[in-house]
Amino acid sequence: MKPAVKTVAQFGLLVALTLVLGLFDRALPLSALLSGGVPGLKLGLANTVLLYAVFLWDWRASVLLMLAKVLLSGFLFGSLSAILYSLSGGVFSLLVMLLSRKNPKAAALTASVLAFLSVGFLLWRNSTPRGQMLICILLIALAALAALILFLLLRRHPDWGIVGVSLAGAVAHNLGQILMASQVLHSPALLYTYLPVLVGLGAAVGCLTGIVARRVLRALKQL
Amino acid sequence: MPARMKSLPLVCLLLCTLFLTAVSLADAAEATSTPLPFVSLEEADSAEAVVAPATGYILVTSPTLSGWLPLPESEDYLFPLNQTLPDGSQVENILHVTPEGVYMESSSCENQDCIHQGTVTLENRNDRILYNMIICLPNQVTLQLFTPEEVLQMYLR
Repeated sequence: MKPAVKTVAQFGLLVALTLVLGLFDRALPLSALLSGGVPGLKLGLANTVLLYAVFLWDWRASVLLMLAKVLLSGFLFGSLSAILYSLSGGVFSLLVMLLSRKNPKAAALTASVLAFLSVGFLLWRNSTPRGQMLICILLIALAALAALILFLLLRRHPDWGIVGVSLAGAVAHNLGQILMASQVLHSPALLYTYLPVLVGLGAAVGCLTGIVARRVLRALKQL
Repeated sequence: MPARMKSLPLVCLLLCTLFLTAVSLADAAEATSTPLPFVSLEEADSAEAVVAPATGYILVTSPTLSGWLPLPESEDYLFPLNQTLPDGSQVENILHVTPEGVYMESSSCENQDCIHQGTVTLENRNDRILYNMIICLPNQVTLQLFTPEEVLQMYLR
């Protein structure tokens, strides 16, 4: 069956969008802004285009868009290892987003719990035993609160599910990237030093881009 | 006489330059002549083999070279790490090891994130966002600073 003209046009639009956003991501000196310089930290705007694909088309077109994004932006601006990282991140996040599209509630819950756990781990590692107890209690309370808010929000407004899918995709993207990086760099220690930082930041950014995506998608569907 | 006086500052400048060059050359010769205390992961089959007693050890990992560097007792030292990456590119990182810790002195990578990450010491690692690590993603180098107890634990397991 031939793809509809509209899908082809949308596909071209989204490929162009992801390349431009990728350039913007690279230009933003995010890693230098944060004290200590987290290497490879990006806003991930280019990856949010995948989110639109997941909600607009079936899984085949989404996979095609992911490959186009990884290969084109990799060969245009990146190196071989950059392609490996973004491919691994893309595969993980796309898989999770496709799976969680049907059930955004569970995805959002899992991803936010993972994010709270990572932030908790970071704080716990860097504090005294007494502080550790306090942090544990505080985090359990915060995680419960977040879960409650998510649950109520998604029940009232099902269209906020895209925020949950975005959140899960962002966390999965970071997981995929770090798994690949720990292979490439021969350093499993990345999993407990670098991954919690990225998951914590990624979850926050994932929420924001999800909120933006909700608006954008509404406009895209009217095209 | 006045003509000779005119050239005096120039001669002084020349002498100064010569002296500075000689000093820097002597410095460079000294730095390269001291043997580097690097022990590769293949050689380090027990905690004792990791090297002479030190207050801390740096685990260096990269595609071409992985192993241990001890913190020096008093004198800083440089550890140049030249590699050919799997994709064929030539890269260089220079680690600066001080008695307290380590930092990346220079790197051939494009983003210089590893240099912005500053120094890791046993005191400050709990306050750093990357804990005991310095990561250079483009050149595929990681550094981690461990206490002797942590190294012993690693080899006991």
